[in-house]
Amino acid sequence: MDLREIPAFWGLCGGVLNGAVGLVTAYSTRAGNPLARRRAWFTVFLGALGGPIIAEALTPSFLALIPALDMRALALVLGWVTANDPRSLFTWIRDRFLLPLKGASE
Amino acid sequence: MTWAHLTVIATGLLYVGASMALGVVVRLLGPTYHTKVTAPLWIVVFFALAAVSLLWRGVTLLFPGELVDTDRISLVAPLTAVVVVGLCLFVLDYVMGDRSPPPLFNQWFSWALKRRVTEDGIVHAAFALPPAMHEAAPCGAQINRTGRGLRLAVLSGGAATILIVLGVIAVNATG
Repeated sequence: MDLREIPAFWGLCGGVLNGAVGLVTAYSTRAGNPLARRRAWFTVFLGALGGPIIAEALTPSFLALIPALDMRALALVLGWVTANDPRSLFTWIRDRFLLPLKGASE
Repeated sequence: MTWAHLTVIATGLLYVGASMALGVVVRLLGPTYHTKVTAPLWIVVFFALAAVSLLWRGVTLLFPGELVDTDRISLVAPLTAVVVVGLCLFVLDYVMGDRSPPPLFNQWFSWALKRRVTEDGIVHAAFALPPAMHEAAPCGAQINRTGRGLRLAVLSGGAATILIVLGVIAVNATG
């Protein structure tokens, strides 16, 4: 079995790439702080675990939609996108949409 | 392995590198680093979109499939990619300075927060200020809490990981 035939391998590559970039940023002298370091480690684990899963799950569907794409390119980008910390997005949605609704009803 | 082949691989890797630089810009401007100033949302969204676009451009050059025709790529394409990388690094450098307003103003911001100035107002004020000098950034006190050896180990480990992944991609590229 060749690893390079599996979307999960390329998803892992993309996720680990993004996670490692975040790690280097968080530990650099000019930008790092302790909170950012903890979040960067979370991003690394998200990329290493979630990247292969998301790539393996979604790549066949996208390939069926656009068959001209290369599987490896698609899996790589999917893994890369997965390794972003989504919690700030959740916080933004909560602060912007859910909390005002609650406040208006009271 | 011909010159055209090498040109395509170099161009693709340069575009991936540019997207890595813009990804750092998104991290620094976004709420991940919320102990400093967070940029307005549309700026963060724009840079995230730019990072994904550049990544897609580089990756489709490395693994073209049938969408991209890499046979007739110009020999000047790596130069264009170098220009893009340079501009991205310039933005990254500017953002790293822009993240920290001059240290004097941190005191003023905490005082203004007590006076019921909204957080959005603080953000706009901080972005209107000139950036602090890099050496004058007040984060040095926080850095020294972690050991220097540990920090260097993580940094070199991260750099080695990036190089390994890029190497795997470059070796398998069918540009």
